Amino acid sequence: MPQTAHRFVLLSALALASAGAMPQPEEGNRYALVIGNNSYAAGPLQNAVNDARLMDKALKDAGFRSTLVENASLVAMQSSVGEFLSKLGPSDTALFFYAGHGVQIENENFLVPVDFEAPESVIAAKFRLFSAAQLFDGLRNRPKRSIVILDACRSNPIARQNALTAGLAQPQNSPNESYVVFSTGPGQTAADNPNGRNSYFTEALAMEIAKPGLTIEEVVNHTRATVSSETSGSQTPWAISSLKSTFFFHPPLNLEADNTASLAMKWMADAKRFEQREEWPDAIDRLNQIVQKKAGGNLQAAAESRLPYLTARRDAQTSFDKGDYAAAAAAYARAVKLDPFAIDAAFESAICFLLQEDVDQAVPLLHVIRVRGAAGSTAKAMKMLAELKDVSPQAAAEAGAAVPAPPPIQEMFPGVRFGAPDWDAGRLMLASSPVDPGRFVKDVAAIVPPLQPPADAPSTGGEPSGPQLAEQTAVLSRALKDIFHLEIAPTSETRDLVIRRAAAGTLDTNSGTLDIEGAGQQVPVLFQGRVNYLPARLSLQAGKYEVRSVQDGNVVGTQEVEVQAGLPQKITVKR
Amino acid sequence: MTKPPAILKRGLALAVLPLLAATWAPAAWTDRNEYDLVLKIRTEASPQKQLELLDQWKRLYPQSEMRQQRRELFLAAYQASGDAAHVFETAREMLAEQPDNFVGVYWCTLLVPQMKDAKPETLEVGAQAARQLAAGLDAYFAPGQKPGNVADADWEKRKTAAGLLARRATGWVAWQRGDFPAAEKIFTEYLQQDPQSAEIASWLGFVLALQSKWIPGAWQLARASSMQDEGALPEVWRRQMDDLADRLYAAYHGSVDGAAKLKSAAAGSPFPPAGFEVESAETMRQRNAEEALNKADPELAAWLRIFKQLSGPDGEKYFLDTLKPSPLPKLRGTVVRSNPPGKPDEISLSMGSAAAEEVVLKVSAPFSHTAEPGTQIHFQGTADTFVKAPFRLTVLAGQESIEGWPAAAPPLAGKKKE
Repeated sequence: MPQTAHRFVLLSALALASAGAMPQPEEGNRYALVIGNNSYAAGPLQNAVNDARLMDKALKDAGFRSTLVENASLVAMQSSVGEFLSKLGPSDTALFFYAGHGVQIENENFLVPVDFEAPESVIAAKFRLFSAAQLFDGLRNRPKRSIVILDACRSNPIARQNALTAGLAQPQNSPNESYVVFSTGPGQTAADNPNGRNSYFTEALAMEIAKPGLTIEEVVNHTRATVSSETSGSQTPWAISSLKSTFFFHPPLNLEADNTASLAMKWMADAKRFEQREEWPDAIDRLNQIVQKKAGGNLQAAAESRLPYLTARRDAQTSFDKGDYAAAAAAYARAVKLDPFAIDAAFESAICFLLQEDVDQAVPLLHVIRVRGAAGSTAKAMKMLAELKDVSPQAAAEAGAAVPAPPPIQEMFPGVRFGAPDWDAGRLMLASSPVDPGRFVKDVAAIVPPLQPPADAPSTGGEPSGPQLAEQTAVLSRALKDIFHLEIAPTSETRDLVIRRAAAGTLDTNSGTLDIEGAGQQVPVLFQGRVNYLPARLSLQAGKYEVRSVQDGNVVGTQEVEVQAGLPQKITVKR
Repeated sequence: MTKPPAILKRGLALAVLPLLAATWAPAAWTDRNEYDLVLKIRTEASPQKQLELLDQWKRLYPQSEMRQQRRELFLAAYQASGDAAHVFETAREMLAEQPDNFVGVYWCTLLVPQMKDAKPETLEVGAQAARQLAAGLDAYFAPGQKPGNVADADWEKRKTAAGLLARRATGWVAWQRGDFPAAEKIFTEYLQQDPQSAEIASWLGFVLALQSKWIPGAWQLARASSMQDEGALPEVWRRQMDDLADRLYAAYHGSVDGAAKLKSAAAGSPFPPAGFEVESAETMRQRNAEEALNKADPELAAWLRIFKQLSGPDGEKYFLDTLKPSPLPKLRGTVVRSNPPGKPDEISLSMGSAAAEEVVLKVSAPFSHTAEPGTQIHFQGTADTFVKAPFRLTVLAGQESIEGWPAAAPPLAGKKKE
């Protein structure tokens, strides 16, 4: 193969390979059902509801239409799962999250509703629990992909009290194209984290979900690492996957949809996390995203005002790492000017100046620490000043000065305008959790008759059908509402409903005649959508009938008559 | 700057607007440890961990002078967690301490519809907050309150938005309390001011539907469903609204025929234009019934139309204005009696409802012979007089316009002399 052709093939292959690796925009909708159960009579939990709320928020941020159910009874779990499944279309992504107690019975997983009561037998227990297998069955072949996350492996008194097995088993019937995540390995249990607001698992998971560009596998891998580290290896989240396509909770940044305020808020939260970890370039990157997207409002203003500080920190770090302490000291000092509460920067700056034996520049920074630092930092600054006082009168003066009062809270949180509402936050909160109209749709639907299917094509002749006759009779009945008339109706409970139509010109041996007299002349008689007038002779199918006298729209009298095949019957109607 | 003495501080606080009291004087730290704790909150990035620290602060310093500021930090952390219920609860605490606290007023007004419980006490908090917000708009948005980085026009817009927010909450509370007419009025006023709110259009649609106002309800739901730009409802809800609009339309009209036209019009206008009407199913049924009867028995149908009008409250007016000036349609009656019996020119007829004498037919020239009671005749004529009770319509008719009068009996046959 000539070299150019070879290169062309190679480039094409690379292009194809990279195209395959590029995340493709998804089709369909994302639906989530999030259930958190705390309030068990036996073994109440503290964090499951918090976990559910946290996940609900994380999933909404990731574009899921999430339904949050808290402290669900068995009926509530069944109905919410039913509603959830009914929404799913073949191109949708479904995510089910559960936080609460879970048990396994004969290797089958069950989620425990809050109204669970101890049964007499293990078999009976199955009927008071929500079967995960039932959920998996419901998900099979319904959405394009299913994600099931079960944080249901907690230390479990319900299991102990009812001779059930705590923890969950490996599912036997996972839906096709699915990803099932457990907060810990099969058969293990996890702690509820009683000292925190969220379980270790959910807290880490929500944080990873928020990161753009992570595949679901990466999200779970990162979560596993965090949880394992935080629990000293006693809890290791576990997953089983049959996904055929890449799934991102948040797509990589270059695929993100155009600016939304919620995205900007997420970037701000990311930036804060990176800042806390002193990952300055990443923090700067996130704030730049906000500025470049022109997110507007407080978020953009906060991003713009924070960027110079982060840049100073990044520069200081770079200079320090290079051993350029003069530049580092200046950059740290710049950072302290921009954020006087950056106590660590003040220390770093002071140390860098001292490394250059520039005490005069270090002392004001130690002053900043004394004014704004926590007790430990203040004590450390005082120690440094004590050591410097012999060489620097400035340091001696600072060391001898009284400890200044800490600044007011308003100075500590310059981004918060105390006493005034945060309009942007309000707007975002409404956008992220709009009022679910489901209840009102049901309220109204309950009083409105359901839509009827379109009527059949109009009759082209012949006898009208049963419903048509009924409608025609009803129409005529309404038309005659104001005048006295008779209505003939079969009483269906005794009437043979098999109606045989006689051929034209032949005697129908199943029918008889009914003569109706009295009640004056020309009284309209309604039967089978037609008007006759008294005295009237009607040919009727054999059976029992009711003759109703109607005046001003009200039935004022009834008579029953039985028509027998081939026999004439006669009744007299009185007004 | 020297801090003012406490007594002077209290005196000043009394002299200024209560609204501003929370913002002018910096609160004092109980001790250095309190400050240190808040410093930790400041450096924490995770809202969850911030909440843990805030809980700790609250536990250790329940009576801190910075209680309200602490609540604002709670608010911020709950907002970041998307926890509307706790935001509302915290704002409620702020109002319990200071009923006109702007932050508390704002969040309680904003979030009362977001609260899933809709308990009476929750609704009352929302209603009070909304009233306070509406009443305090001028104070809250006084020029002196405007932050330096906000333009005058934006400040004015924010004030308008706050007014709408108060309406939204007030309407919501009225709705949840079952006062649908009040809610309808408030949501209507809202949409007159801000016609682009899909949320309020949907709420108005529900409230109208709950009062069986099917077509106006369908209009609003269709409109809410049609909005696609900023403020649009999620797709799945839009579909629900659209389906419900169809059902409301069909409940009134009997079918969805024409619903697309309503939806298209609703997409372009917040309210139905003057004269917009949809025919009700009942009207259609009546019309169809009349047409059916007209086809099956036009004479009876004609009489029923006349009878209905004459028996109605404006019967006499109908007689004079409509019936008398024009010839009557062809009618059918049954002879009850003829007068005088031999050569009658006045025939009493029952017209179908009973044996009652409803019409007296005055013939221009007497018949040469009588007709037996029960004889059915058809006639045309003009109405002459009318008495409502007992019902009696007198009609003038020529002999030639009467059909069905029996032929005269043939003379008795005699032997002809030859």
